[in-house]
Amino acid sequence: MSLGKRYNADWAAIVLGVGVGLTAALYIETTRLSDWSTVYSIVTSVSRVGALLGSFLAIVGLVLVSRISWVERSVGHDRLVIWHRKLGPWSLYLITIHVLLVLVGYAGHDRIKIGIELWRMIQRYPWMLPAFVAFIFFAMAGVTSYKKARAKMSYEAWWTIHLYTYLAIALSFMHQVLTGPMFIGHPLNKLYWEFLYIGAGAAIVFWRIAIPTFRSLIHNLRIEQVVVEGPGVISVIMHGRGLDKLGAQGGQFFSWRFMTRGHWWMSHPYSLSAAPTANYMRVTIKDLGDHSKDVRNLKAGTRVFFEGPYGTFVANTSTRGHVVLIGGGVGITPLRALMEELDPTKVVDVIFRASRDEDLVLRKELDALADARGARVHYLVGSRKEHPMTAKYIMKFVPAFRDSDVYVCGPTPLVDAVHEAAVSCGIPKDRIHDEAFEFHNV
Amino acid sequence: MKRALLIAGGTVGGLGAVLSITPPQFGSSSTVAGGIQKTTPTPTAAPTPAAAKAAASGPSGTFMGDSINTQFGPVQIQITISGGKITHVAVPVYPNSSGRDQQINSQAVPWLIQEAMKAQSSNIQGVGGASYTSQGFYDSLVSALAKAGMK
Repeated sequence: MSLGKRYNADWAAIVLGVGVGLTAALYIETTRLSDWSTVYSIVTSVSRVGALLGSFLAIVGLVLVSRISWVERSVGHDRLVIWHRKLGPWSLYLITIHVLLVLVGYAGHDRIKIGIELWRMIQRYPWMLPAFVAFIFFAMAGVTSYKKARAKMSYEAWWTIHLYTYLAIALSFMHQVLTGPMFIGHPLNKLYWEFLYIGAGAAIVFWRIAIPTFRSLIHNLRIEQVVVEGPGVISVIMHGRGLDKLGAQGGQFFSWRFMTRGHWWMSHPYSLSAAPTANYMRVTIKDLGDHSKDVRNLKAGTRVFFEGPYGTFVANTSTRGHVVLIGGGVGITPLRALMEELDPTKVVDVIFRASRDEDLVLRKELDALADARGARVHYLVGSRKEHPMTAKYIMKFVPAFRDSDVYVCGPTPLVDAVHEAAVSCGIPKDRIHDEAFEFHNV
Repeated sequence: MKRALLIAGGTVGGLGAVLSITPPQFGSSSTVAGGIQKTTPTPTAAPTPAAAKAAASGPSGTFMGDSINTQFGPVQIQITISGGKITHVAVPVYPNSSGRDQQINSQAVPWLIQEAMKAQSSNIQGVGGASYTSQGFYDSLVSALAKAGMK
């Protein structure tokens, strides 16, 4: 991360802190000693603090991925996604604490069973049923985002469930302001809370809907051709106008939405597989989810909506005279795009890992690009055991590995292995550039 | 980590700013009630022609609701109706013996009064944290409205 971005990230941390402080103040300002006088009132009080902080973090999580352009520019999309992922679980923990403890606190106070208390609350309090449904949605999105659960799901399933967090956050709002003691009779507190929710909603509508729609229409991006590159690997070539004005670079990705039946309702993150030109962009896709299988049936002329460009996996972040590009399978595609934009004076080595020969996609293009600039391409076909991505093994092909910039893209195990290899031979972190497939999503 | 310190610093700053402007009142129990009482409307001094017409047709008078026993004590309300319109709601009896009851009901009772004034019927929402009082208030309100012939 550049110095400027680090500085901006520090400011973002302060803003987050102030927000947490203001939110906690809502409670401290309105609480009474009697809220802490009996066991059950303490339980209820703790639950309310959890609710406030958990909801605040949920809103922050939304804002982090709302694609506010100056935030994306000043902190970096990748960093925002990392923060979103770090905050998400905390938000869920705190809200879960709220739901459980408020039930225990109320049931204890009313001296009835927790299940009956839940039923009573849903019946008697305004917007409690929507809030309870919201909690279930929120919990589902959290559980399916857990690393192990997510690895077992398709991107489409995960994304659809995740989408319900918007609904969850909206549904939970009314029960907060109608029954929360920190809001009833405290108009300023309510104003602050409304500002948070309306602000987040406006940011999403403007930056995630209005701006991308407008830009997609202006640039008039449409599918020109769909090409099968190998088993399960498809390239989509898109034509538009003034695409150079997007400022996209090879190695970056967009969120794409093909506006045709069965596709329009969800967007997918795919990297550019060739450096963009004024009129053309290309992505190359392997069927990792359910979606990419249908991509080959897309018709020429289909309109494409896009959000982006995103990502800092680009050529101009390299600092050494020697660059090593390591790609696994279809992970070669952003590297191939990035290679086009590497300064011609740089010495380039490409390591292309694949388990079968037919998985060496875009091989001809890669060879042509390598020939043109005198780069070497090392094809390593076979199992992981045959080609362990250790420092020692990499240095067999690239003796100058130690003194190079490393770019790696592919499945997470490959990225992790190369990362470890690079660190083990002393390459500093700012010279290791990686892009795991899973990193695009959100 | 430096950034964690920044977050903590921001938190302390935000918290401190709010609390120094509006200091918390841990001991008091009636700030909410005060805030709501201000908004409780009083009968309008000069009724509009429409209201005057309604006044001629609807029931008028003061009606005491049934005393409803809850786990924490009885709740009883009294409504004043003028021309079919609820103009005043009082709660002479509600659980008030423990500090906990006082604390809960000092917030809940004004809120329930406001709800009843707003709804002009028994169609009201309960208050979080005061489910028994809410239920008692509701039942007493229903009985008072029934006595007034307003169901």
